[in-house]
Amino acid sequence: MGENVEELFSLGISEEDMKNILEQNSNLFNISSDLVKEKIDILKYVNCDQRHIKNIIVSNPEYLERESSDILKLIKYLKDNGFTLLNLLFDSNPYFLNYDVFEIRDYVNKRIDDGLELDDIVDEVENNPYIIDEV
Amino acid sequence: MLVEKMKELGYTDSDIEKIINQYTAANNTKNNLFKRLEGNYKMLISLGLSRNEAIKITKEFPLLLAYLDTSIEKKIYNIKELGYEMSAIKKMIIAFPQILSLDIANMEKKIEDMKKIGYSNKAVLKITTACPHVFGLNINNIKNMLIKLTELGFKYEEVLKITTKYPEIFGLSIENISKKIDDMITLGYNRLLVIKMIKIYPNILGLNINNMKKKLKDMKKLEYTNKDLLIITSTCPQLFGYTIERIKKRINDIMDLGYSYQEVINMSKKFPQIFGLSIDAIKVKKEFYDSIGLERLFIDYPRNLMQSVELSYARYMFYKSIGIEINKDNFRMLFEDQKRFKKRYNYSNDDLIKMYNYNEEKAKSRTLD
Repeated sequence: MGENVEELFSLGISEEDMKNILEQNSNLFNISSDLVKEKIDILKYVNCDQRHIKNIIVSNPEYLERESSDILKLIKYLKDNGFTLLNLLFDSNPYFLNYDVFEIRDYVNKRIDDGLELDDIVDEVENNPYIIDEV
Repeated sequence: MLVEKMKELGYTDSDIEKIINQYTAANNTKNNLFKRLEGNYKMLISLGLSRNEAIKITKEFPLLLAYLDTSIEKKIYNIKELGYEMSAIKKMIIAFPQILSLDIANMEKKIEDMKKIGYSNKAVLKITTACPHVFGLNINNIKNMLIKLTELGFKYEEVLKITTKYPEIFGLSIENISKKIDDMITLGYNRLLVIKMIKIYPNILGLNINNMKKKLKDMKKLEYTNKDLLIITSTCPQLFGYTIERIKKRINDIMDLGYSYQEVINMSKKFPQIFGLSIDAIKVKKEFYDSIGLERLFIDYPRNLMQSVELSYARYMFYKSIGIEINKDNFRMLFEDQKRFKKRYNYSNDDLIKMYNYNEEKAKSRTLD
Protein backbone atom coordinates (compact mmCIF):
# COMPACT_ATOMS: atom_id res chain seq x y z
CA MET A 1 0.00 0.00 0.00
CA GLY A 2 2.89 2.32 0.77
CA GLU A 3 3.53 3.57 -2.77
CA ASN A 4 -0.01 4.69 -3.49
CA VAL A 5 -0.16 6.59 -0.22
CA GLU A 6 3.23 8.19 -1.04
CA GLU A 7 1.72 9.32 -4.35
CA LEU A 8 -0.94 11.20 -2.36
CA PHE A 9 1.47 12.62 0.21
CA SER A 10 3.50 14.05 -2.69
CA LEU A 11 0.44 16.21 -3.51
CA GLY A 12 0.78 17.86 -0.11
CA ILE A 13 -2.02 15.92 1.56
CA SER A 14 -1.54 16.05 5.34
CA GLU A 15 -1.47 13.03 7.63
CA GLU A 16 -4.79 14.10 9.15
CA ASP A 17 -6.40 14.30 5.70
CA MET A 18 -4.83 10.97 4.76
CA LYS A 19 -6.35 9.41 7.85
CA ASN A 20 -9.78 10.74 6.80
CA ILE A 21 -9.25 9.50 3.23
CA LEU A 22 -8.41 6.00 4.43
CA GLU A 23 -11.38 6.02 6.79
CA GLN A 24 -13.73 6.98 3.97
CA ASN A 25 -12.08 4.70 1.44
CA SER A 26 -10.51 1.66 3.08
CA ASN A 27 -10.28 0.15 -0.43
CA LEU A 28 -7.40 2.56 -1.02
CA PHE A 29 -5.30 -0.13 0.63
CA ASN A 30 -5.98 -2.25 -2.46
CA ILE A 31 -5.57 0.41 -5.14
CA SER A 32 -2.17 0.27 -6.82
CA SER A 33 0.00 3.37 -7.06
CA ASP A 34 -0.31 3.15 -10.87
CA LEU A 35 -4.08 3.50 -10.62
CA VAL A 36 -3.76 6.41 -8.18
CA LYS A 37 -1.33 8.07 -10.60
CA GLU A 38 -3.75 7.42 -13.47
CA LYS A 39 -6.52 9.26 -11.62
CA ILE A 40 -4.20 12.15 -10.85
CA ASP A 41 -3.17 12.29 -14.52
CA ILE A 42 -6.82 12.52 -15.60
CA LEU A 43 -7.23 15.59 -13.40
CA LYS A 44 -4.05 17.08 -14.86
CA TYR A 45 -5.47 16.40 -18.34
CA VAL A 46 -8.36 18.79 -17.57
CA ASN A 47 -5.83 21.34 -16.24
CA CYS A 48 -6.31 20.76 -12.53
CA ASP A 49 -3.32 22.11 -10.65
CA GLN A 50 -1.89 20.54 -7.50
CA ARG A 51 -4.23 22.47 -5.24
CA HIS A 52 -7.29 21.33 -7.19
CA ILE A 53 -6.11 17.72 -7.24
CA LYS A 54 -5.44 17.72 -3.51
CA ASN A 55 -8.84 19.31 -2.80
CA ILE A 56 -10.66 16.81 -5.03
CA ILE A 57 -9.04 13.75 -3.49
CA VAL A 58 -9.35 14.95 0.11
CA SER A 59 -13.04 15.84 -0.35
CA ASN A 60 -13.93 12.88 -2.56
CA PRO A 61 -11.63 9.88 -2.00
CA GLU A 62 -14.24 7.76 -3.82
CA TYR A 63 -12.86 9.34 -7.01
CA LEU A 64 -9.79 7.11 -6.71
CA GLU A 65 -11.98 4.02 -7.00
CA ARG A 66 -13.83 5.16 -10.09
CA GLU A 67 -13.08 3.46 -13.37
CA SER A 68 -10.85 5.70 -15.44
CA SER A 69 -12.87 4.91 -18.56
CA ASP A 70 -16.05 6.19 -16.88
CA ILE A 71 -14.33 9.41 -15.80
CA LEU A 72 -12.97 9.96 -19.32
CA LYS A 73 -16.42 9.32 -20.81
CA LEU A 74 -17.84 11.92 -18.39
CA ILE A 75 -15.16 14.44 -19.39
CA LYS A 76 -15.79 13.82 -23.08
CA TYR A 77 -19.54 14.22 -22.65
CA LEU A 78 -19.10 17.47 -20.74
CA LYS A 79 -16.68 18.88 -23.33
CA ASP A 80 -18.87 17.79 -26.24
CA ASN A 81 -21.81 19.59 -24.69
CA GLY A 82 -20.09 22.89 -24.14
CA PHE A 83 -18.65 22.66 -20.65
CA THR A 84 -15.34 24.45 -20.33
CA LEU A 85 -13.02 24.98 -17.36
CA LEU A 86 -13.63 21.45 -16.08
CA ASN A 87 -10.80 21.97 -13.59
CA LEU A 88 -12.84 24.67 -11.88
CA LEU A 89 -16.06 22.64 -12.11
CA PHE A 90 -14.46 19.67 -10.37
CA ASP A 91 -12.70 21.89 -7.84
CA SER A 92 -16.01 23.59 -7.02
CA ASN A 93 -17.78 20.28 -6.59
CA PRO A 94 -15.33 17.38 -6.26
CA TYR A 95 -18.29 14.95 -6.15
CA PHE A 96 -19.15 15.90 -9.74
CA LEU A 97 -16.52 13.37 -10.75
CA ASN A 98 -18.69 10.60 -9.31
CA TYR A 99 -21.39 11.15 -11.94
CA ASP A 100 -21.76 8.84 -14.87
CA VAL A 101 -22.69 10.19 -18.29
CA PHE A 102 -26.25 8.87 -17.99
CA GLU A 103 -26.85 11.02 -14.90
CA ILE A 104 -25.73 14.23 -16.58
CA ARG A 105 -27.59 13.30 -19.75
CA ASP A 106 -30.78 12.66 -17.77
CA TYR A 107 -30.46 16.05 -16.10
CA VAL A 108 -29.79 17.81 -19.41
CA ASN A 109 -32.76 16.10 -21.08
CA LYS A 110 -35.03 16.97 -18.16
CA ARG A 111 -34.03 20.63 -18.36
CA ILE A 112 -34.51 20.64 -22.15
CA ASP A 113 -38.02 19.32 -21.49
CA ASP A 114 -38.41 22.22 -19.04
CA GLY A 115 -37.73 24.55 -21.95
CA LEU A 116 -34.06 25.45 -21.53
CA GLU A 117 -31.48 25.59 -24.28
CA LEU A 118 -28.30 23.57 -23.88
CA ASP A 119 -26.10 26.61 -23.27
CA ASP A 120 -28.46 27.74 -20.49
CA ILE A 121 -28.19 24.32 -18.90
CA VAL A 122 -24.39 24.38 -19.10
CA ASP A 123 -24.44 27.84 -17.54
CA GLU A 124 -26.81 26.66 -14.80
CA VAL A 125 -24.58 23.72 -13.88
CA GLU A 126 -21.34 25.71 -14.08
CA ASN A 127 -22.90 28.34 -11.81
CA ASN A 128 -24.13 25.73 -9.35
CA PRO A 129 -22.23 22.45 -9.73
CA TYR A 130 -24.43 20.88 -7.04
CA ILE A 131 -27.67 21.51 -8.94
CA ILE A 132 -27.96 18.00 -10.37
CA ASP A 133 -28.50 16.54 -6.91
CA GLU A 134 -30.78 19.31 -5.71
CA VAL A 135 -34.32 17.91 -5.88
CA MET B 1 0.68 -35.35 19.49
CA LEU B 2 -1.70 -34.10 16.75
CA VAL B 3 -3.47 -31.83 19.24
CA GLU B 4 -0.15 -30.45 20.53
CA LYS B 5 1.10 -29.75 17.02
CA MET B 6 -2.14 -27.95 16.17
CA LYS B 7 -1.91 -25.88 19.35
CA GLU B 8 1.60 -24.84 18.33
CA LEU B 9 0.16 -23.44 15.11
CA GLY B 10 -2.27 -21.36 17.19
CA TYR B 11 -5.50 -23.36 17.18
CA THR B 12 -7.62 -23.42 20.34
CA ASP B 13 -9.02 -26.58 21.89
CA SER B 14 -12.46 -25.96 20.39
CA ASP B 15 -10.93 -25.23 16.93
CA ILE B 16 -9.00 -28.48 17.14
CA GLU B 17 -12.03 -30.51 18.16
CA LYS B 18 -14.10 -29.05 15.31
CA ILE B 19 -11.43 -29.68 12.69
CA ILE B 20 -10.66 -33.22 13.84
CA ASN B 21 -14.35 -34.14 13.96
CA GLN B 22 -15.10 -32.75 10.51
CA TYR B 23 -12.00 -34.24 8.92
CA THR B 24 -12.62 -37.63 10.50
CA ALA B 25 -16.28 -37.58 9.42
CA ALA B 26 -15.26 -36.84 5.83
CA ASN B 27 -12.25 -39.18 5.66
CA ASN B 28 -12.90 -41.87 8.28
CA THR B 29 -9.39 -41.31 9.57
CA LYS B 30 -7.15 -38.72 11.17
CA ASN B 31 -4.29 -39.76 8.92
CA ASN B 32 -2.66 -36.93 7.03
CA LEU B 33 -4.82 -34.36 8.85
CA PHE B 34 -1.86 -32.52 10.29
CA LYS B 35 0.13 -32.76 7.07
CA ARG B 36 -2.77 -31.22 5.14
CA LEU B 37 -3.52 -28.66 7.81
CA GLU B 38 0.08 -27.54 8.13
CA GLY B 39 0.46 -27.43 4.35
CA ASN B 40 -2.68 -25.29 3.94
CA TYR B 41 -1.79 -23.11 6.91
CA LYS B 42 1.74 -22.42 5.62
CA MET B 43 0.45 -21.79 2.12
CA LEU B 44 -2.09 -19.23 3.39
CA ILE B 45 0.61 -17.52 5.48
CA SER B 46 2.87 -17.39 2.39
CA LEU B 47 0.07 -15.47 0.60
CA GLY B 48 0.41 -12.77 3.23
CA LEU B 49 -2.48 -13.76 5.46
CA SER B 50 -1.97 -13.38 9.20
CA ARG B 51 -1.81 -16.33 11.55
CA ASN B 52 -5.32 -15.54 12.83
CA GLU B 53 -6.69 -15.26 9.29
CA ALA B 54 -5.16 -18.60 8.31
CA ILE B 55 -6.65 -20.23 11.40
CA LYS B 56 -10.05 -18.61 10.75
CA ILE B 57 -10.11 -19.94 7.19
CA THR B 58 -9.03 -23.48 8.00
CA LYS B 59 -11.46 -23.50 10.93
CA GLU B 60 -14.45 -22.10 9.02
CA PHE B 61 -13.85 -24.21 5.98
CA PRO B 62 -12.39 -27.54 7.11
CA LEU B 63 -13.26 -29.00 3.69
CA LEU B 64 -10.16 -27.11 2.57
CA LEU B 65 -8.22 -29.97 4.11
CA ALA B 66 -9.44 -32.15 1.24
CA TYR B 67 -7.12 -30.11 -0.99
CA LEU B 68 -3.37 -30.30 -1.18
CA ASP B 69 -1.65 -26.93 -0.73
CA THR B 70 -0.37 -27.27 -4.32
CA SER B 71 -3.98 -27.55 -5.58
CA ILE B 72 -4.96 -24.48 -3.61
CA GLU B 73 -2.00 -22.60 -5.06
CA LYS B 74 -3.12 -23.55 -8.55
CA LYS B 75 -6.68 -22.42 -7.80
CA ILE B 76 -5.36 -19.07 -6.63
CA TYR B 77 -3.29 -18.75 -9.80
CA ASN B 78 -6.42 -19.49 -11.87
CA ILE B 79 -8.44 -16.88 -9.96
CA LYS B 80 -5.65 -14.38 -10.65
CA GLU B 81 -5.98 -15.22 -14.36
CA LEU B 82 -9.61 -14.07 -14.16
CA GLY B 83 -8.28 -10.56 -13.49
CA TYR B 84 -8.10 -10.31 -9.72
CA GLU B 85 -5.17 -8.71 -7.90
CA MET B 86 -3.61 -10.76 -5.10
CA SER B 87 -4.91 -8.28 -2.54
CA ALA B 88 -8.45 -8.92 -3.84
CA ILE B 89 -7.96 -12.69 -3.77
CA LYS B 90 -6.78 -12.54 -0.17
CA LYS B 91 -9.82 -10.46 0.73
CA MET B 92 -12.11 -12.96 -0.99
CA ILE B 93 -10.54 -15.97 0.70
CA ILE B 94 -10.86 -14.39 4.13
CA ALA B 95 -14.51 -13.41 3.56
CA PHE B 96 -15.52 -16.57 1.71
CA PRO B 97 -12.97 -19.42 1.99
CA GLN B 98 -15.39 -21.62 0.04
CA ILE B 99 -14.21 -19.74 -3.05
CA LEU B 100 -11.23 -22.08 -3.06
CA SER B 101 -13.56 -24.96 -3.79
CA LEU B 102 -15.45 -23.27 -6.63
CA ASP B 103 -14.98 -24.45 -10.17
CA ILE B 104 -12.99 -21.88 -12.18
CA ALA B 105 -15.11 -22.42 -15.30
CA ASN B 106 -18.24 -21.61 -13.27
CA MET B 107 -16.60 -18.48 -11.85
CA GLU B 108 -15.68 -17.40 -15.36
CA LYS B 109 -19.24 -17.99 -16.52
CA LYS B 110 -20.65 -15.98 -13.64
CA ILE B 111 -18.39 -13.08 -14.57
CA GLU B 112 -19.55 -13.26 -18.19
CA ASP B 113 -23.21 -13.54 -17.16
CA MET B 114 -22.91 -10.46 -14.99
CA LYS B 115 -21.36 -8.57 -17.89
CA LYS B 116 -24.32 -9.60 -20.03
CA ILE B 117 -26.72 -7.95 -17.59
CA GLY B 118 -24.85 -4.67 -17.83
CA TYR B 119 -21.84 -4.64 -15.53
CA SER B 120 -18.39 -3.76 -16.80
CA ASN B 121 -15.61 -6.25 -16.19
CA LYS B 122 -14.09 -4.00 -13.52
CA ALA B 123 -17.47 -3.65 -11.80
CA VAL B 124 -17.85 -7.44 -11.65
CA LEU B 125 -14.37 -7.81 -10.17
CA LYS B 126 -15.17 -5.09 -7.62
CA ILE B 127 -18.52 -6.64 -6.67
CA THR B 128 -17.17 -10.17 -6.34
CA THR B 129 -14.12 -9.01 -4.38
CA ALA B 130 -16.34 -7.25 -1.84
CA CYS B 131 -18.97 -10.00 -1.91
CA PRO B 132 -17.45 -13.26 -3.16
CA HIS B 133 -20.60 -15.13 -2.14
CA VAL B 134 -22.11 -13.62 -5.33
CA PHE B 135 -20.34 -16.48 -7.12
CA GLY B 136 -22.76 -18.77 -5.31
CA LEU B 137 -25.86 -16.84 -6.47
CA ASN B 138 -27.88 -17.89 -9.48
CA ILE B 139 -27.61 -15.25 -12.24
CA ASN B 140 -31.40 -15.19 -12.61
CA ASN B 141 -31.71 -14.33 -8.93
CA ILE B 142 -29.19 -11.52 -9.39
CA LYS B 143 -31.16 -10.26 -12.42
CA ASN B 144 -34.41 -10.43 -10.47
CA MET B 145 -32.91 -8.45 -7.64
CA LEU B 146 -31.83 -5.72 -10.03
CA ILE B 147 -35.30 -5.62 -11.56
CA LYS B 148 -36.94 -5.46 -8.13
CA LEU B 149 -34.67 -2.53 -7.27
CA THR B 150 -35.96 -0.69 -10.33
CA GLU B 151 -39.48 -1.30 -9.01
CA LEU B 152 -38.50 0.54 -5.83
CA GLY B 153 -37.83 3.69 -7.87
CA PHE B 154 -34.37 3.41 -9.42
CA LYS B 155 -33.50 3.35 -13.11
CA TYR B 156 -31.64 0.24 -14.28
CA GLU B 157 -28.42 2.20 -14.85
CA GLU B 158 -28.73 3.59 -11.32
CA VAL B 159 -29.19 0.07 -9.96
CA LEU B 160 -26.01 -1.09 -11.71
CA LYS B 161 -24.17 1.90 -10.24
CA ILE B 162 -25.56 1.46 -6.71
CA THR B 163 -24.76 -2.26 -6.62
CA THR B 164 -21.23 -1.57 -7.87
CA LYS B 165 -20.67 1.19 -5.33
CA TYR B 166 -22.14 -0.88 -2.53
CA PRO B 167 -21.82 -4.57 -3.45
CA GLU B 168 -22.85 -5.54 0.07
CA ILE B 169 -26.38 -4.89 -1.17
CA PHE B 170 -26.26 -8.43 -2.58
CA GLY B 171 -26.31 -9.64 1.01
CA LEU B 172 -29.61 -7.85 1.63
CA SER B 173 -33.07 -9.04 0.65
CA ILE B 174 -35.39 -6.82 -1.35
CA GLU B 175 -37.74 -6.92 1.62
CA ASN B 176 -34.97 -5.51 3.85
CA ILE B 177 -34.20 -2.79 1.32
CA SER B 178 -37.87 -1.89 0.94
CA LYS B 179 -38.23 -1.79 4.72
CA LYS B 180 -35.19 0.47 5.01
CA ILE B 181 -36.81 2.88 2.54
CA ASP B 182 -40.05 2.82 4.55
CA ASP B 183 -38.14 3.30 7.80
CA MET B 184 -36.33 6.30 6.36
CA ILE B 185 -39.69 7.79 5.32
CA THR B 186 -40.80 7.53 8.95
CA LEU B 187 -37.76 9.64 9.87
CA GLY B 188 -39.31 12.46 7.85
CA TYR B 189 -37.81 12.11 4.36
CA ASN B 190 -40.13 11.72 1.40
CA ARG B 191 -39.64 8.79 -0.96
CA LEU B 192 -37.96 10.91 -3.62
CA LEU B 193 -35.39 12.11 -1.09
CA VAL B 194 -34.73 8.59 0.18
CA ILE B 195 -34.11 7.38 -3.39
CA LYS B 196 -31.77 10.34 -3.94
CA MET B 197 -29.91 9.62 -0.68
CA ILE B 198 -29.42 5.98 -1.64
CA LYS B 199 -28.09 7.00 -5.05
CA ILE B 200 -25.56 9.34 -3.44
CA TYR B 201 -24.65 7.05 -0.54
CA PRO B 202 -25.89 3.48 -1.09
CA ASN B 203 -24.06 2.36 2.10
CA ILE B 204 -27.03 3.88 3.92
CA LEU B 205 -28.88 0.65 3.12
CA GLY B 206 -26.53 -1.18 5.47
CA LEU B 207 -26.97 1.21 8.36
CA ASN B 208 -29.16 0.28 11.29
CA ILE B 209 -32.22 2.57 11.43
CA ASN B 210 -31.83 2.99 15.19
CA ASN B 211 -28.25 4.17 14.69
CA MET B 212 -29.53 6.62 12.10
CA LYS B 213 -32.12 7.89 14.58
CA LYS B 214 -29.37 8.26 17.18
CA LYS B 215 -27.20 10.18 14.72
CA LEU B 216 -30.06 12.61 14.09
CA LYS B 217 -30.63 12.94 17.84
CA ASP B 218 -26.91 13.61 18.42
CA MET B 219 -26.81 16.16 15.62
CA LYS B 220 -29.86 17.91 17.05
CA LYS B 221 -27.75 18.59 20.17
CA LEU B 222 -25.45 20.61 17.89
CA GLU B 223 -28.32 23.14 17.56
CA TYR B 224 -30.02 21.92 14.43
CA THR B 225 -33.80 21.64 14.17
CA ASN B 226 -35.50 18.54 12.74
CA LYS B 227 -36.12 20.45 9.51
CA ASP B 228 -32.45 21.51 9.29
CA LEU B 229 -31.35 17.91 9.76
CA LEU B 230 -33.62 16.56 7.04
CA ILE B 231 -32.17 19.08 4.60
CA ILE B 232 -28.57 18.56 5.71
CA THR B 233 -28.64 14.76 5.76
CA SER B 234 -30.61 14.43 2.53
CA THR B 235 -28.03 16.66 0.82
CA CYS B 236 -25.08 14.88 2.49
CA PRO B 237 -26.29 11.40 3.44
CA GLN B 238 -22.63 10.41 3.97
CA LEU B 239 -22.96 12.16 7.34
CA PHE B 240 -24.78 9.06 8.54
CA GLY B 241 -21.50 7.22 8.03
CA TYR B 242 -19.51 9.70 10.10
CA THR B 243 -19.19 9.45 13.86
CA ILE B 244 -20.62 12.41 15.75
CA GLU B 245 -17.06 13.17 16.88
CA ARG B 246 -16.00 13.50 13.25
CA ILE B 247 -18.91 15.86 12.53
CA LYS B 248 -17.97 17.95 15.58
CA LYS B 249 -14.34 17.97 14.45
CA ARG B 250 -15.39 19.25 11.04
CA ILE B 251 -17.34 22.04 12.71
CA ASN B 252 -14.29 22.87 14.85
CA ASP B 253 -12.00 22.82 11.80
CA ILE B 254 -14.22 25.40 10.08
CA MET B 255 -14.34 27.46 13.29
CA ASP B 256 -10.51 27.45 13.30
CA LEU B 257 -10.69 29.46 10.08
CA GLY B 258 -12.12 32.32 12.15
CA TYR B 259 -15.84 31.64 12.47
CA SER B 260 -17.95 31.30 15.61
CA TYR B 261 -19.80 28.08 16.39
CA GLN B 262 -23.15 29.66 15.57
CA GLU B 263 -21.81 31.01 12.27
CA VAL B 264 -20.62 27.56 11.22
CA ILE B 265 -23.94 25.97 12.19
CA ASN B 266 -25.82 28.61 10.18
CA MET B 267 -23.48 28.19 7.20
CA SER B 268 -24.05 24.44 7.21
CA LYS B 269 -27.83 24.92 7.30
CA LYS B 270 -27.74 27.05 4.15
CA PHE B 271 -24.98 25.03 2.44
CA PRO B 272 -24.76 21.49 3.88
CA GLN B 273 -22.19 20.62 1.23
CA ILE B 274 -19.70 22.51 3.41
CA PHE B 275 -19.27 19.26 5.32
CA GLY B 276 -17.87 17.70 2.17
CA LEU B 277 -15.39 20.42 1.22
CA SER B 278 -11.76 20.26 2.21
CA ILE B 279 -10.71 22.79 4.82
CA ASP B 280 -7.90 24.02 2.58
CA ALA B 281 -10.38 24.74 -0.20
CA ILE B 282 -12.53 26.83 2.15
CA LYS B 283 -9.44 28.56 3.56
CA VAL B 284 -8.13 29.65 0.15
CA LYS B 285 -11.49 31.16 -0.78
CA LYS B 286 -11.93 32.83 2.63
CA GLU B 287 -8.48 34.40 2.38
CA PHE B 288 -9.32 35.88 -1.00
CA TYR B 289 -12.69 37.29 0.02
CA ASP B 290 -11.24 38.64 3.30
CA SER B 291 -8.54 40.40 1.26
CA ILE B 292 -11.19 42.25 -0.77
CA GLY B 293 -13.30 43.25 2.20
CA LEU B 294 -15.97 40.55 1.97
CA GLU B 295 -15.25 38.90 5.33
CA ARG B 296 -18.89 38.10 5.98
CA LEU B 297 -19.56 36.62 2.54
CA PHE B 298 -19.52 32.97 3.55
CA ILE B 299 -21.32 33.63 6.82
CA ASP B 300 -24.26 35.31 5.11
CA TYR B 301 -24.09 33.57 1.72
CA PRO B 302 -22.22 30.28 2.19
CA ARG B 303 -23.43 28.98 -1.18
CA ASN B 304 -20.88 31.34 -2.71
CA LEU B 305 -18.33 28.77 -1.54
CA MET B 306 -19.28 26.96 -4.73
CA GLN B 307 -17.48 29.33 -7.04
CA SER B 308 -13.82 28.72 -7.69
CA VAL B 309 -11.40 31.29 -6.34
CA GLU B 310 -9.85 31.54 -9.82
CA LEU B 311 -13.09 32.82 -11.33
CA SER B 312 -13.87 35.13 -8.41
CA TYR B 313 -10.39 36.64 -8.64
CA ALA B 314 -10.63 37.07 -12.41
CA ARG B 315 -14.02 38.72 -12.17
CA TYR B 316 -12.82 40.99 -9.35
CA MET B 317 -9.77 42.10 -11.32
CA PHE B 318 -11.85 42.65 -14.46
CA TYR B 319 -14.32 44.86 -12.63
CA LYS B 320 -11.42 46.76 -11.08
CA SER B 321 -9.96 47.33 -14.56
CA ILE B 322 -13.20 48.96 -15.70
CA GLY B 323 -13.47 51.09 -12.58
CA ILE B 324 -15.94 49.00 -10.60
CA GLU B 325 -14.85 48.35 -7.02
CA ILE B 326 -16.51 45.23 -5.63
CA ASN B 327 -17.90 45.73 -2.13
CA LYS B 328 -20.59 44.49 0.25
CA ASP B 329 -23.33 46.12 -1.83
CA ASN B 330 -22.46 44.83 -5.28
CA PHE B 331 -20.59 41.57 -4.54
CA ARG B 332 -23.23 39.54 -6.41
CA MET B 333 -21.61 40.75 -9.62
CA LEU B 334 -18.78 38.30 -8.89
CA PHE B 335 -21.25 35.41 -9.13
CA GLU B 336 -23.26 36.38 -12.18
CA ASP B 337 -23.86 33.50 -14.56
CA GLN B 338 -21.53 33.36 -17.55
CA LYS B 339 -24.20 33.93 -20.19
CA ARG B 340 -25.32 37.23 -18.68
CA PHE B 341 -21.75 38.36 -17.98
CA LYS B 342 -20.65 37.60 -21.53
CA LYS B 343 -23.69 39.39 -22.98
CA ARG B 344 -22.78 42.48 -20.97
CA TYR B 345 -18.99 42.51 -21.31
CA ASN B 346 -18.24 40.11 -24.17
CA TYR B 347 -15.84 37.99 -22.16
CA SER B 348 -16.33 34.34 -21.22
CA ASN B 349 -15.08 32.87 -17.93
CA ASP B 350 -12.31 31.22 -19.92
CA ASP B 351 -11.23 34.59 -21.34
CA LEU B 352 -11.20 36.21 -17.91
CA ILE B 353 -9.19 33.46 -16.29
CA LYS B 354 -6.59 33.74 -19.03
CA MET B 355 -6.43 37.49 -18.53
CA TYR B 356 -6.26 37.41 -14.74
CA ASN B 357 -4.49 34.33 -13.51
CA TYR B 358 -4.99 33.77 -9.80
CA ASN B 359 -2.14 31.29 -9.44
CA GLU B 360 0.37 33.58 -11.14
CA GLU B 361 -0.70 36.47 -8.93
CA LYS B 362 -0.39 34.31 -5.82
CA ALA B 363 3.05 33.14 -6.86
CA LYS B 364 4.09 36.77 -7.44
CA SER B 365 2.90 37.90 -4.02
CA ARG B 366 4.67 34.92 -2.39
CA THR B 367 7.91 36.02 -4.09
CA LEU B 368 7.44 39.56 -2.83
CA ASP B 369 6.88 38.22 0.71
